Amino acid sequence: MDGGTSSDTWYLLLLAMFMISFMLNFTDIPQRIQLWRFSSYVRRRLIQIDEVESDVRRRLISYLSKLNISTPKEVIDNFMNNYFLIEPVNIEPVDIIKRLSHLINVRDTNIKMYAEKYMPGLQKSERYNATVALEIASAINTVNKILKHYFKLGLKNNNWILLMQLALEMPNIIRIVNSYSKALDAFFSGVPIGDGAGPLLVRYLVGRAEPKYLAEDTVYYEVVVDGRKVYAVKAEGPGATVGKPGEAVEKLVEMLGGSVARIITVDAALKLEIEDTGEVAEGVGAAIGDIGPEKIGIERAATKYGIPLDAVVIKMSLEEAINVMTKDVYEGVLKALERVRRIISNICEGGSIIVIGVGNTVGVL
Amino acid sequence: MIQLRNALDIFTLLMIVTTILLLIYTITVMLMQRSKNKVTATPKVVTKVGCMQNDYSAEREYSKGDYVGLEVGKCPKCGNSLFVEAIYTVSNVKGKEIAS
Ligand SMILES: [Zn+2]
Repeated sequence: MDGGTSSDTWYLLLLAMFMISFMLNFTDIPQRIQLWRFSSYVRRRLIQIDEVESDVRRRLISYLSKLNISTPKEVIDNFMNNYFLIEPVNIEPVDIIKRLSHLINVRDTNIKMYAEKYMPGLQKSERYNATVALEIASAINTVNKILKHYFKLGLKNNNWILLMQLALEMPNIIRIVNSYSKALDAFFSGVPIGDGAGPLLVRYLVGRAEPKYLAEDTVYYEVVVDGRKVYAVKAEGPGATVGKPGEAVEKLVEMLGGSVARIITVDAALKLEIEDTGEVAEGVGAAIGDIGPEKIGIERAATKYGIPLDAVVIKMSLEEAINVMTKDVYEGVLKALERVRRIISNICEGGSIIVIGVGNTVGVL
Repeated sequence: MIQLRNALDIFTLLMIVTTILLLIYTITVMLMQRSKNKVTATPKVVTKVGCMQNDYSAEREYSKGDYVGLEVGKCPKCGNSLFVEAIYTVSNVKGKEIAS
C-alpha cells in the first residue's frame, strides 16, 4: 500500500512536468505572460513620462506668465506639433546642402516670427531662451507620442517583441526625457549649459574685445594672442542660440582673402561611458554637431584655401551637455583653452588664426 | 516506510527552499528598484566672479540674472571692473544617477 502511494506521487509529478514542458515548448503561453509583463511595465513608464510632460507644461506656463505673456497656454499649444522639417530628397544629392540650409533658414525664420508675434515686449535673449524652452517641451511631447504609438501598435498586434524592445529601451528613454525636463531650468534662468563649452572658451580667449557682426546671431572678435592675430567666432550671447558658424567662417575666410594659417573648431563632444567628463581631445576636422550645412561650410572654406582644420573637443554626457554646466566641464574648458593657446603659439608669428566656439551660447555673452 | 518518508521529505524540502529563494529574489529586486527611484538632491549653482586684472576671484551663490561676461561691480583689490567668469554646478554626490 505504501509503495502504491509513492508511485502515484511520482506518476503525478512526471505528468505535471510533462504538461509544463508541453506548455512551455508548444504553446504561446510564455510569450503571452511576457507580453502582459512587459506591457504593464511599459504602461507604468509611460505614465511616468506623462507626469514629466505635464510637469514641463506647468513650469513652462508659469515661466511664460512671469514674462508677462497673457496667453501662455495658447503660445504652447500653437507651437507643439508644428514646425517640423521634412528632409530634402537625398537620392538626387545635387544641391542638397543648399536645399537643406534653405529649409532650416525658413524654419528658423518662422519660429522667430512666431516668437515675436506671441511673445512681444521681451528682450532678445529672453525671447531666444523662451523659444528653446518651447522646443524642449515640443520634443518631450513628440517622444511621448511616438512611444505611445509603438505601445498601442504592439498591443494591437500582440507583438511581444516590439513591447519587449520598448520595455528594454524605456530606462534610457526616461533618462533622456528627464534630462530634457531638467534642462528647462537652465534656459529659464539663462545660465550656461555644457554645450556652451565652445562659446565660453571663446569668451575667455577674447577677454573684453568688441564683437563684430558676421552672420545671423553670430559675431567675431579680433584679438592678438602671442603676437598672432586671432579671429574668434561665436554665437551672439547671452540668449540661447547656436548662430550660423559655418556661414560665418565662410564669410570670414573670404573677407581675409584666404590668408588664414589655421582654423580651430572647439565643441562639446559626447563622451563614451568609460571616459571622464571634461576630458579634452584634439584631432582634425570640423568639430560641430550640426546636421550638415554649418559643418560643410567650415570644411569647404578650409578646403578651398588649403587651410589646416583642427578640432578640440571637451567630453561630456548628453545630460551634462544640455543641463547647467558642471564644474568638471568648466575645468575641461580651461584645459581646452590651454590646448588652443598651444596650437596658436605653434603657428608662425604674424599669421592669422580663426577659432570657432561651437555650441549654444546661453548665458555666455 | 522510512524510505518513503525520506523521499517525501526531500521533495517538500526542495519546494520550501525554492519558495524561500524566490521570495528573497523578489524582495531584493523590489528593494533595488526602490533605492534607484530615490531622487538625488539638486546640485548647487555657483557663480564665479573675477577681476579683469586677474588679481581677484571668488565664488558666490548664483543669483538671478547672472550670465558670463556680466559686470557685477568693482574689484576690492584694484578697483577695476569685476565680471562674472563662470556659472556652474557643484555637487558632492559623485556619479549620481537620474531616477528611472
Ligand atoms: Zn582686481
